[in-house]
Amino acid sequence: MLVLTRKLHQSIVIGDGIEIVVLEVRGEQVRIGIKAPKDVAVHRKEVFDQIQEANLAAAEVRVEDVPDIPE
Amino acid sequence: MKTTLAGTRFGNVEFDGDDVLRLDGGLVGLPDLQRFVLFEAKPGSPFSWLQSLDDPSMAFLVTEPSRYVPSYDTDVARRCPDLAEAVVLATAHVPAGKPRETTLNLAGPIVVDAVSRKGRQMVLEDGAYTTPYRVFPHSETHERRAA
Repeated sequence: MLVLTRKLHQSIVIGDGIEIVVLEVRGEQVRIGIKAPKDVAVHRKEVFDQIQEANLAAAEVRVEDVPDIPE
Repeated sequence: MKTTLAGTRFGNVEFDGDDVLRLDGGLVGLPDLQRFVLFEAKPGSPFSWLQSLDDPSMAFLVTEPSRYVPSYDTDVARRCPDLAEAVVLATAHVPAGKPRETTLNLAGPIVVDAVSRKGRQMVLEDGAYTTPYRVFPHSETHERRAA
């Protein structure tokens, strides 16, 4: 992992067209601004991880366990 | 033209080239899985298998959540106005041997345009959808115990 230290309002540029800027630092919270092309997904990691786990769980379902929906 | 996919959990799967769904960027965490076919788990079942063509060993249980959460389709379609006729799917998880504990992941809908058969998996950050959605209400046994 590349580790950079930034001060308030300083930025990081990634590849071609992605920029990350420190907008505000308040106590333990850091407000981060992200500029990225529309086709690049940007999400909080917890949500991303949750969806990845749910995807993998859906692939592990056994054929015999698929529920029957009562009428 | 029918093609056969071998090596799946269901043995050989036959499909038509026109049935192939293409997900832009693949699935979250599985970006290389971009081509799929969809088939019912059992005749008439609301559950289907999203079978990967890129990795035949992977098939994901999915369903259309609008059947259980009426407003869901509209909520999702609002966020992808580029899809003319969106089919919205959510992955389902069934703990081994416990079909009544089936849950849906509403935070990561797989949205596909019914006409072009192209789509993507979206990430919804709404608090409303972050908890797994239970398809079946808590069991009767559970309620009796709580009384």
